[in-house]
Amino acid sequence: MSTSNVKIAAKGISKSFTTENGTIQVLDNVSLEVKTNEFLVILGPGQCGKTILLNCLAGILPPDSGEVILNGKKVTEPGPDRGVVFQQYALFPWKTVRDNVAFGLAIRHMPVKERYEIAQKYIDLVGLTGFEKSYPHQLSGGMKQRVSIARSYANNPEVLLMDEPFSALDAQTRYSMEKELLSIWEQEKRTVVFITNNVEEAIYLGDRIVLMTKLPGTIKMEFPLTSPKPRNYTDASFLEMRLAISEETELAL
Amino acid sequence: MANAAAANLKEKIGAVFSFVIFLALWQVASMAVGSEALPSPADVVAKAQEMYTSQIGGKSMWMHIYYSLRRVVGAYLLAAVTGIPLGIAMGWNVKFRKIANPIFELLRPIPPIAWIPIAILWLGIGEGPKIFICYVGAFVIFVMNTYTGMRYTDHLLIDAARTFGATRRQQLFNVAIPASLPSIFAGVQNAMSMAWMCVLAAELVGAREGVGFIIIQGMDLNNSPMIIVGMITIGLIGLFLAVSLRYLEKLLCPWRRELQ
Repeated sequence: MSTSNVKIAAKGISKSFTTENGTIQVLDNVSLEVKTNEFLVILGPGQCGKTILLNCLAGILPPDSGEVILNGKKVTEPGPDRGVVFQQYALFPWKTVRDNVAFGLAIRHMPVKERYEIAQKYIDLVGLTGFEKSYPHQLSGGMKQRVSIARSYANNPEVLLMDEPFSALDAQTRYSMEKELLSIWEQEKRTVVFITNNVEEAIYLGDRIVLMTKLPGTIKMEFPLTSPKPRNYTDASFLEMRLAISEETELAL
Repeated sequence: MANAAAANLKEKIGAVFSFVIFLALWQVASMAVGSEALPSPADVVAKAQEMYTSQIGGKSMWMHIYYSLRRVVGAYLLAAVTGIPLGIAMGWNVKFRKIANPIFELLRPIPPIAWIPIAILWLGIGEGPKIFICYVGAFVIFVMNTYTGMRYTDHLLIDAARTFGATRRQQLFNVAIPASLPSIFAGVQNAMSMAWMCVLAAELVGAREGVGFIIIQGMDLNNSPMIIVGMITIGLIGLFLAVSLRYLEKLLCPWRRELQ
């Protein structure tokens, strides 16, 4: 892997938290590199520190040791170059869909007209045309997550960090959201770090899967995925990969 | 839609029905204990007609209502413009919270009415102490609700704003304050009820005008219909104030889900 091609990298990240029950080591010397426009999936059991790793990449949490490098520069705080899609959507309930999507642009003082033009483009892209003036509480879970994805995209980040974005959705909605995310990503390529605990979702979406162990979280194995997308859940190669990863995952648990 | 209209109609019929029952019980009670102690609804209506068309203590009823409202509104606005910023500052700035909160916690449990004697001592018997008492009552509620709203702002929303590069100032004005608005608005309504309660208490102690003065006058004259007309007036004005503020909230916080 040529280093010039690396968009964002974690170098030897460790993080622990002190609670009433003592100190818990959450991440232990985690290193990974994500190439430009690569769709990297971080797969791990519940409570393996993968959300913490994502928050470190986002700059929301400072690591105890190690560093995050974006475009060759050290990350010290969150920034508009890294968009985050949160598991719990994190939409602003007092803003309409349009104003939620335009939030990042408003923060940068972009004029309203321009702001809304860009917002509209991404509202259309995620299939929410007609809901511009709805408030988040009027939307279903899947629609909320679409707004959140559009909000991140509209801000034109270099890296999209997605923290189990579909885990709160029912199975049917989840499948269709995975499909749509893939088609959005094909239309507007970004470097993506996608966190999940779902093996199928990981194989369906990823260019490469990084498997994490349970606490303290470390990287156990990597699986490159080369078959063309969109992939079929029932293909022999898909099922083979699923079996291979599941065996390793069980050991991780 | 038809269902909603039918439900609405049912609710209205229910309200009328409960009101009729209340009047009937009142009438029965009045006959049982004698109209000396508890005047009948008809006596009260007759007295209301008389009071609203003549003068009491040299002023019409409307003037008395005006005096009370003027005190309440003045104190209320003053409490809002001082209490809301203080609550925001306490909720947002950790250093300021550490200094202000202990003092506030100490003063907060003192009921506004307990301030009446010292207010009169400091400010005399004019408008000053009455406005001051209302102010104390409303101020505490404004501060508490604003502060609570700020403290309970979902940290995820602040994090989300940070990922878009929001400055600390933008996090405050674009996220924390709007997120606190529902809680602040709960305070807006409670503070008004509190201010209205306080003005009556203040007027019971040495006033020559106001709705509180009316009911004290009724007591001094041993005139129970007059007291009851005063009490009903107080209730109606309180209701009017609450309804107007609820309307204002709907106008300013359209994202709030209606809880039915």
